[in-house]
Amino acid sequence: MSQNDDLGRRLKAEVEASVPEVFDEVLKGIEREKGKTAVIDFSSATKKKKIPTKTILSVAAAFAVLLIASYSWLLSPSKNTFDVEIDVNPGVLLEVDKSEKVTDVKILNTDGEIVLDGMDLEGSKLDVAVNALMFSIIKHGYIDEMTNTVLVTVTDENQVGTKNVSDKIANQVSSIFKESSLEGSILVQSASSDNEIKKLSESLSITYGKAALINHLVKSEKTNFSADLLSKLSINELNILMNEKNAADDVTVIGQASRKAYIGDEAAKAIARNSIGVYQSDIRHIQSSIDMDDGIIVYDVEIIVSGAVYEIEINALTGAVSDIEVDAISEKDDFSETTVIETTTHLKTKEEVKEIVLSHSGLSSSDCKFFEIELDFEGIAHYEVEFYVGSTQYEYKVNAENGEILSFSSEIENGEIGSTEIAHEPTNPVKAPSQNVSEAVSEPYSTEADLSSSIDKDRAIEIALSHAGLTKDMVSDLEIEFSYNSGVVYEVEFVYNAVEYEYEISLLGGEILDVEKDS
Amino acid sequence: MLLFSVLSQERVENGDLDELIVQVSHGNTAALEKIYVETKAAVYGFALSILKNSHQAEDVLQDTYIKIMSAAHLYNQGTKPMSWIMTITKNLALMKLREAGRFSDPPEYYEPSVESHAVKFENKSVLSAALRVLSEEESAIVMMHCVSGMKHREIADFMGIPLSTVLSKYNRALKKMKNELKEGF
Repeated sequence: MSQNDDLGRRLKAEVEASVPEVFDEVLKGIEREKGKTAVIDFSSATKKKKIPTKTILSVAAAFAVLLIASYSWLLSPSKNTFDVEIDVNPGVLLEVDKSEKVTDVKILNTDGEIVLDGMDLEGSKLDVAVNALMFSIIKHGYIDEMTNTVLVTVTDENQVGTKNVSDKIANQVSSIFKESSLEGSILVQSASSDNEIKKLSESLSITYGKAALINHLVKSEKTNFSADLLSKLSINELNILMNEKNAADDVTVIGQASRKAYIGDEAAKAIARNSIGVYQSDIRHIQSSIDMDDGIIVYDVEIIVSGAVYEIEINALTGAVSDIEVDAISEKDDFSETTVIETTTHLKTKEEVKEIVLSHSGLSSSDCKFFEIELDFEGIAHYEVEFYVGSTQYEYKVNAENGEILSFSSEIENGEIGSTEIAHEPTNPVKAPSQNVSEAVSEPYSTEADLSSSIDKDRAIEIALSHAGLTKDMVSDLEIEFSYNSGVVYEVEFVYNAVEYEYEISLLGGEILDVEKDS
Repeated sequence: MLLFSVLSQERVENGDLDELIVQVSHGNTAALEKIYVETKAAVYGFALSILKNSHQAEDVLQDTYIKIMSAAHLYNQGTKPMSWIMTITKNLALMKLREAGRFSDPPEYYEPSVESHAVKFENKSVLSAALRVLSEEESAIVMMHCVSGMKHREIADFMGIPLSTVLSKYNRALKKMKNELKEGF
């Protein structure tokens, strides 16, 4: 280890000696900047957001409170009906007359019943009824931080006065949100009483309002999704999707749909980077956007590195990677445009590879420690997998495209090796153990140490201190960190009597590998 | 001895850096200069590892402190100051790469600056060896650990990769450097 320290010190000395003196220029630059706007958007892409582990499966898919108001205009002899739908999910239908009094209340589904809660709304004014229903919806938890979209649909055969009614209700819902300190989003759409939409709502078993919304989306041609797939989403999710795809032309959107249930762009990007094992410094361009795949909202993260574009699909709720796509591109491309696509390949995800390796070795996840999987593009794209079972280290190479195991080996720390190279064609016999000697062989651990267990930091510190004949309160500047010397080791450092001690202790077995004293 | 002083410098750095950045956010240029003195080698070394070009690294070095001045108010006290500074450097370096259209150009062969003063490099330059034989990520890790004094764990968090990956890459990097320097004889 001291050889490495020496190198490190020299490197540091050389860098320090070659740093150009630029502080004067820095001061000048600051003066220049003062003339510009002070606000700079600086976001640390390395910040990892905590990923919520609970899957919010129980969140009601679509909220729909149906308020259907029949509105007869004074001037028109025929009965002009207004249908006003407020979609969250509970289905309640209100028929309203021209003086805005509720004449009839219909319950459309079981959630609607819960929300109506035995209230008698007949004879009350529309705004009172809206109030009562909205508060009941909130009270029963159909709208919360994570799902906050309310859809208002006004349907009228004659398209008269729909704007008035929908605006009024939208405003009312908006102030109810404010009163309840909820940040809500309201979608307001007008629809004509349409057989097409009626059929859609019946065949997909969704409310008229939701069907009308989906119809809007599909007709906008901003997505390729079928109405069927879209119907699986909640109103909130549809709101998010429409926002993402700029498909809200026929719909007025107030506020922003809550994305709090999702892991967030930064977390998605971090997961994406990790899934393909790319270093930040290799990334030319990275962007994350929301999309839908098979009824599930996902983040599509695009990462461009030299020669390839990756698209990684990540479940927006759970953070699980569901797909990785690689396209090779010509080196000369400007990173802001992807041009010539040569090949498209789908790669196995890390989870899939882990399964493959575990079933091949006949081990279970709990047997394995320090599991590491990395994607490597040298030669055939493959995953390098490493893990420990007791004192045995396993290494696997798995073809990233088809999941085929290319090679595997297992090494026991005291120097015995067993390894196998699996030939590409399954008909070929397995080769004899290859020359897979690593440095671990030349520096075997002592057999006295307990090889089957790993020690924790406190134990490592204990070992170091007791070897030096000291206790924790006798020393200062106690530090411990991980390092690597033919295996993971602890580096324990402390100072006693102006002498600096450095211990190297193996993770497996707690054996003291090196001791250094510096005064 | 040097190891000891490197360690104590780390601890002083972290506590001080945190406080200094806060002072900078109030417009204190003296505090900025202290930060500059403490961290310029780290920033320069790291920029070099990405750009492999001393002139561009110098630009990034300069821009980093200008940016620290303007972004200090966004820093959350008590979070890792060194990582924060390095993130600024990294972003600037990447922008530099894009501007220079560097993706298809090979890195320039690095020679230590002729104006650098008294320190005589014992044998061949370790720095040159590092920039010659190491990959971007290996040299970045080595710079961050040896010059910035960042712990492996902090580097792992910064780069968004597992700790054990950092450890083995670091180890491999040093081996490569050792081999390169040996062959010089």
